[in-house]
This record gives sequence, structure tokens and C-alpha cells, in this order.
Amino acid sequence: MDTASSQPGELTISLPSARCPVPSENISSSLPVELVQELWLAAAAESCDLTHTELAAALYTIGAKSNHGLPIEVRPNAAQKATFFRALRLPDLALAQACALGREAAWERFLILYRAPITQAAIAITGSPTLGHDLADSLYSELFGITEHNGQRRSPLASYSGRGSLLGWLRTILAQRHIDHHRRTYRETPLDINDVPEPPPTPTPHPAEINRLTQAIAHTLETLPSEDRFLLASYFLDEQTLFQIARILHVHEATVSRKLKRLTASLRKQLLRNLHSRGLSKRAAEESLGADPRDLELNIRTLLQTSQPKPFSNKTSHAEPDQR
Amino acid sequence: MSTPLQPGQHPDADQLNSFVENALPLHEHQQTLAHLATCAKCRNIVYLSNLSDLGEFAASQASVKRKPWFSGWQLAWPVAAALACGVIFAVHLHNIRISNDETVITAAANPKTTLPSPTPLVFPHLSPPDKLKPAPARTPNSHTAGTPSAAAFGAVTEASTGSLNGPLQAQSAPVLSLQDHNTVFLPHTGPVPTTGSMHGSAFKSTDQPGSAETKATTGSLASPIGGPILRADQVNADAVNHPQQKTVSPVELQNNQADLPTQRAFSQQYRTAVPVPSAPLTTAIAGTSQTVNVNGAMTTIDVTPSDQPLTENRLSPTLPSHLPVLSIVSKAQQMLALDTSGTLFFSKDFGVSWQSVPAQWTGRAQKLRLTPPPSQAVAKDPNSSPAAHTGVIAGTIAQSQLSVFELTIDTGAIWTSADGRSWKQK
Repeated sequence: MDTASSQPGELTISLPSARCPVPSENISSSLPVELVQELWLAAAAESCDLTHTELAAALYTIGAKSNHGLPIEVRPNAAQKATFFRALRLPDLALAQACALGREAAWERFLILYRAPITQAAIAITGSPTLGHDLADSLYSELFGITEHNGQRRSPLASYSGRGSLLGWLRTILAQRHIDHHRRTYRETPLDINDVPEPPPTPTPHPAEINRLTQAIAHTLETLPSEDRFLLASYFLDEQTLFQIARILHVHEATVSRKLKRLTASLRKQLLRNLHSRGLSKRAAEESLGADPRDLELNIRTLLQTSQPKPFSNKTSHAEPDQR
Repeated sequence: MSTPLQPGQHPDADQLNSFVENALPLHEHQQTLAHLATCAKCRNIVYLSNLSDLGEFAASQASVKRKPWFSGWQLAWPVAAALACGVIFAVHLHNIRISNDETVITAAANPKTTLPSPTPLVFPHLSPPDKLKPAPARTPNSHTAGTPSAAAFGAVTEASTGSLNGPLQAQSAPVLSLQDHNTVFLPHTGPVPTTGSMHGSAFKSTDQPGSAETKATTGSLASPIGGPILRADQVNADAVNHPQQKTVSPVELQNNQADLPTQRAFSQQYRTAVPVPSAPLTTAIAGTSQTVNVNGAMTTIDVTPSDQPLTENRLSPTLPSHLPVLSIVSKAQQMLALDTSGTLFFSKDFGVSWQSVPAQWTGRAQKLRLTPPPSQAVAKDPNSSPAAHTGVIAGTIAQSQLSVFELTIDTGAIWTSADGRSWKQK
């Protein structure tokens, strides 16, 4: 849930912040005093002017949000909770929570630790020093909590859970803001540059083979596992390199290459099987696969992006192919 | 995030960052991956986040970038090059010294080594640098360009040869063997070319610049300059250290007294400025032996008649044993030579024909020399007049014919002979 997103129209669910009153009974039942003391010491929360209560409230909120790292149907016990809390990046978490609470010492430490990395990451994301500095400066103001919600100053730092590093979280925030900014400014193109495109020709009725092929492709892509779809989308649509994909998936790039090769081969087989199941002979199915892609009015990007199973969608009905 | 993402929902930055850092539990990881497979925006966020991480990674890598393995040797290359140059230079110098030594040893061991003809002994061949040339404002008594050699060779000049014509046509020079000196000398002193008959007064004319005698004297005297400068200096030093040697040559007495300081300086200059070629070395050796042996007695004077051609045979005689000459002495037309095997040879025609002398001693002959008769008295007064010196030299050479050969055996015994054939132990 993108609690830090400022994108209008998107669902935003805010985390219960430290200011939100959390019943102390719940906190004490979930976090024993000894554990809080241990975690408070491990987080070096004193240097950030963060009290035991504030840290315990933040930990309680994080544990409740993520179900202590367990699936939602599992009820965690005390040991699992303690293990989850000890696995967090407690110093980063304490610093972020203290900054969200507006502690001066925490902000000084934050700026000492993260000013240069934030600027560097912003420059790397935008590809321009000027834009990078602008992006970093805008992030500082946002992190400080200029925006107010219901009369309360809100800082995105409060949404940091401590599962990943604070620097990585900051980079992700920067990337989000950059993409949001790009989406906003992308629409601000001058009209004289955007020539009115020629109206698309009226679509001619598709031959039956093309229709069958389109439906088969859409169905095959829908049935792919999420990782395979991510691979296809990253490699063929986003044109990411094997190295970048491998870094995201934490595998070797040779593994990504092998997976892609195997995936394309299995896709072809599934397509043939799908076409055969739709009444085409094997030879006709192979011939239809050899059709010129330009004859196919098929938006693979849309197919891939919309092939996620929808909770309320009718799974029996095939998705209609998007037309360009 | 335990609750599944609904359509239109996006994972927050914390979840995406945890996904990138592989910090999500498995179920959340799959959930996020499924969302990323269909959400281009979140994929872009992940890519950009990863890209910035890569940028920092690249920056950190750049800061700790490994240097090439040879970059640390940048300072070592010049040092190594300098060392290599030094080694090469040292080897070159060593080779030069070895070759010089070999040349000297070969010249001493090989009797067939030929002396250079008198012609290349001319000064222009071996012209020293201009600064080393004598200044024109020199005193009239000083020698011309060849004065250093004149000092070095002292009494042995062409003029002296000419003045000593008559009965003293051939004076033998004693042999200076390796045991005697560090410097190896040729066993035989070549005849110095004469420039004509010169008498005592002629010596004065050599001091006059531009005269024919001066040129001739200069040429002959300068001949050792280009060659064995060091030898000449040694001899010059000997001449300085033992002024009594100069009594043999009145010419030198007259000329050297005025020129000694200049000659020393000139010799020093030559020692440092002029390289010593190996070829003219033998020439200087011959000249040196003449001078040094003056100290011994009149036997050191090796005067060859000007009408006798300078032949290789006489300079380096070939003995019947075909072995190198170890030691050689001559008295008038008689010559005695000792080869390296210790065999003694006698020649009564100045080295044209040789006869083996049967050994009358036990042991191996090592050294030959001429000893003056007991009654010999050499005038040693350096202040004598040239005419008096000429008379002294004539008398000395005449007495030299009365000298006896002396043979040293390796046992230390000394055998003497007046005719070179019959020997008796001393």
C-alpha cells in the first residue's frame, strides 16, 4: 500500500503513526518490557531522543501491519514476534521514527548520514545533477513533514518499517517521486509538437485465424506464473538487461538468460497446444504462429499488464484483446 | 504487508525496497512479484531504485578502483633503466679494459706484433683537442706541440740519433719483463726514424718554431702522444723522479729543464682528455723502453742506423722455436733472445739468423739483461753542456760494447756471458 504516494486517484492507506493512540495494553501484550528494553538499546534510540514508549508503539504498528512477517492466516506467537522484531533494522527504524516525530538530534544525524547519498541517488535516478538536486531538495521538505493531514504533520518516514535499509527506502521514495513527476510533466507537452494523429483506419474484420491466435496468446499469458510474466515484461517490454533483472530477482544473470530461453520455448508450446485445443490442426497452428506479427493487432503490453487475475473478474470470460 | 494487494493498489516504498533488498517473507515476495509483473510503474520504481543503487555502487567501485598492477612500478622503471644503463656502461668499460689488457699482453707475447710505421706517428693523426695544443706564446725554449713526448722520451730523439752516428749505430735496449714492471713493454725497441744528421748545435734549432728540424722532431716526438700517453706519463714521471736519467741525453737536459712544468701539465691533460688507442700502444712502449732503460746504463740506448730499414723481423724477431720472445737484449750486432720455453737464442747479425744456445745452467732461464762493466761510469751531471754530453754518450756507448750478457735463472742464479754463447755462473 503506497502510503507515501502522492499520486491522486490512487488508494492510500496510512499507517498508524506513533502519534496515533495505540492502546498500551495491546502494546504490552505484544511487546514485553524486557524485549522493548532490549530493542531500545539495540536501536540506540536514546541518541535519537526516542523514548521506550514511542519505539514500542512503532514496533507494534509495524508488527501488526505485516503480521510479524507471517501469512495473514497464521497467528504469530511471542517467539515469532520477538524474532521478527530482532530482525528489523532497529537503528534505522529508530532514526526514521524520531525524524518523523521531529526530533532535532535525529534530524541532525539523518542529514549527516544521508544527505550525500540522497543527492547522489537523485542524480543517478534523474540522470542530471540539476534535476537530481531539485528532486533531493523536494524530498527533504517532504520528509520533514510540511504537508499536514487532519491538522497533523505527516512525514513519509513514519511509513518506514525497518525491514529494508533506510537508504534503500529513501532511494525508492526518490524513484517514486521522480516517476510521479515524470508522469505529471509528460502530459504537459506543447500542442504544436503533438500533431493530431491521423485517425486510425477502421479495423477490418479479422480473419478467424488471427482471432484465434490473439485469444490463444492472451490466454497463454494469463496462465503464466507471476515470475515468468515479470521476466517477459522486464526483458521484452521494459528492455531491461539481464544484469538488471538478475539484481532485482537476486539470481545470476545466466539464470535469467536460461529462464528466458526456457520460457519462450514453453510459451510456443503452450500456444500451439492452445491453438490445437481451439480446433486448429497442428500444421495450421504452426502456420498461424508463423504469421507476420504486423498482421496481429495485439498489444502484448496491455495483455501482460492486464493479465493479472482480478478478484471480481469473471475468470471464465476471456479478456478481450486490446486494439491499437 | 499481509493483506493482498487489491487492483489499483501499489506496494508502498517500504515494500518495494524490501523486495529489492530481498527482505520480504516468501508470501509477500510472491505477491510483490505478481504485482510487478503487471505494473509498469512499480517496475520502473524498482528499476530506478536499483539503478541509483548501481550508481552508488559504481561510484564506490570507482573510488576503490583497482590500479593496474604495473602502476606501482612507475617509479621503479626509471630506477631500473638507470641501473641497466649503469650496468651496461660498467660492462662496456670492463670490456674496454680487458681488450686493452689483451692487446698489451698479446703485444708482449706475440713477437710478430708489428709496430706501426713511423708515418702514422705524425701528430695530426692524434691531434689532441685545441685547448691542449701548446699556445703560440710559449717560450722559445719550450718544445712545440710534441713536447710532452719529448719529455717522456727524454734523451731518445731523432736528433740524438743523428748526433750519435758513427760507431754507435745500434744500441740495444734491455728487456723490461712483466716481473719488472706493471706495464708491459715490448721486448725490443724499434729504431727511431732519423731525420738526418744532427749535431749538438742542431738541438737548438729544434726549439725554433717552423724549422724543418722542429717539424721532424715534433713528428717523431709526438708519436707516442696519440698512443701510450699513460706510458709516456709514466716515463715522464720517472724522468722527474730520477733526474739522473737525463744525464744520458744532453738534448733532454737542455729541453726538459725548461719544459718540465709544462710537460707535466700537458701530460695530465692528455691523461684525462685523450683516449688511449690500442694500436699505437706498441709504439709508445718502444719509446718508453728507450727512455726507461736510459736509467739502467748506456745499454738502454737502442740506436739504429738510419739507413737500416725498419723491418718487422728486427722489431719482433721470429725465433727458431716459433715461441714468443720472453726477453731480448742486444749488444752491437749481437742479440740474445729468450723464448717463453726458456730456450736461449743467439744472433750475431742483429736478429736475421738465430742459433740456439745450449743450456749450460740448471733450471729455466727467465730473464736477460746487459750489465755494464765494472769500470763504467755514467756522467750524471745534468748541468753539463751538450757537447760534453755528446762525448759522454759516445763514451758510454763504446763502453756498452764491453758489457756482458746476464741471464737470470728461475732458481735465482745469475749466469753471465761476454759473447752470448759461453756462460758461467756469477
